[in-house]
Amino acid sequence: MNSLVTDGLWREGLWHNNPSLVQMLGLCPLLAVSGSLVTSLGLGITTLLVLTASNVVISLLRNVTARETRLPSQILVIAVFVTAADIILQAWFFELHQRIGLFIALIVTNCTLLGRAEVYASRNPVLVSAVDGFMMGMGFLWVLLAMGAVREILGHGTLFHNMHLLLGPMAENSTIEIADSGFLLMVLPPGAFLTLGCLIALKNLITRDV
Amino acid sequence: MNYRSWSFIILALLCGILISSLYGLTREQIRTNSEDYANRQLLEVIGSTTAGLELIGANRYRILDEDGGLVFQVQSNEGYNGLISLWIAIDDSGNIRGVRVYNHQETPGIGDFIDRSVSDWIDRFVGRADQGHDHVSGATITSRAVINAVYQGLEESGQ
Repeated sequence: MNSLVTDGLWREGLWHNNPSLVQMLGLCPLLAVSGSLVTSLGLGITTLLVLTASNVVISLLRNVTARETRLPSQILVIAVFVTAADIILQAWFFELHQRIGLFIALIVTNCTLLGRAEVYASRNPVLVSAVDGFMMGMGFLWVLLAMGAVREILGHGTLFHNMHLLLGPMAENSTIEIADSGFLLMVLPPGAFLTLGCLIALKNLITRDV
Repeated sequence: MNYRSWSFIILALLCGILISSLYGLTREQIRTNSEDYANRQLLEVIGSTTAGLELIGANRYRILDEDGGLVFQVQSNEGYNGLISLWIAIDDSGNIRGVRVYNHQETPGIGDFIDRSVSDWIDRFVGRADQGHDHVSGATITSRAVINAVYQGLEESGQ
């Protein structure tokens, strides 16, 4: 694997072609689940794993599937991984699934996944496709985490609240109290739009200066 | 049938086999999880871990402590997405001791305020026996479903 290629993928996924800040794909889960850090982390990691796995399998199948059926095949592969993630979460992270369950199924409709499958994985070898999926997933994850942290601090006045849903009993007392209460607006849907808008503006500001 | 169709059919078959075996492997675990969760919510709705419960019907218990009363299951299909299942506990004089939603698929971040782990909205029912609650703007359907389910449950328990 060419290190120049992976170097480029790293920059593309995390910054220059970030799925949330530049491609603006998968905004529905991004806006809805970023109310707190723990739900952000849960959905972000699930999306990251599904995206990497589906990129690998779609890249493996790229010479076997016919051109005419490649889109249904790609959606089928993505749907299998999402369903598997949904079942696994129900079996081992039941309470987290209670909180973000609806959006796990909606990962199928996250355009980042089909986008990477069609644009990258169906035309490139397995290893670079895996790296591409992983980096795009990381790009989605860090934006989701940034939004979750900002909205949890401003909206609830806490950080790491309910972390035991994801990490088990060892994170039972992880909540950091920053303020007694927060701005209700930041918890509600408009808060998600405001935070995302500020993040995109910040990104554009930095990119222009560099 | 040509190669194009066959390659897709075989892929679909493989995917089906994979998902159904994963489902078979985890089915027991998932059922245990949701039963555990429903039972924990049942203890929480009574507000006491020591009170005894006597089964008097399907998902219907008599509470054996000084306040007495009943705890029973109510389900609503008026929610935004699928069934909402609740435990409702009432005392002997017909006032609500507590309400807990133990199964729902309402939209995270919008309709999930009915879950006690997300917000304490559900506590507004405690001590009441009459109608008259504000709906939550932005989630009218979800709040109406829960409010209707609670009062329907109250009426049925009074009969």
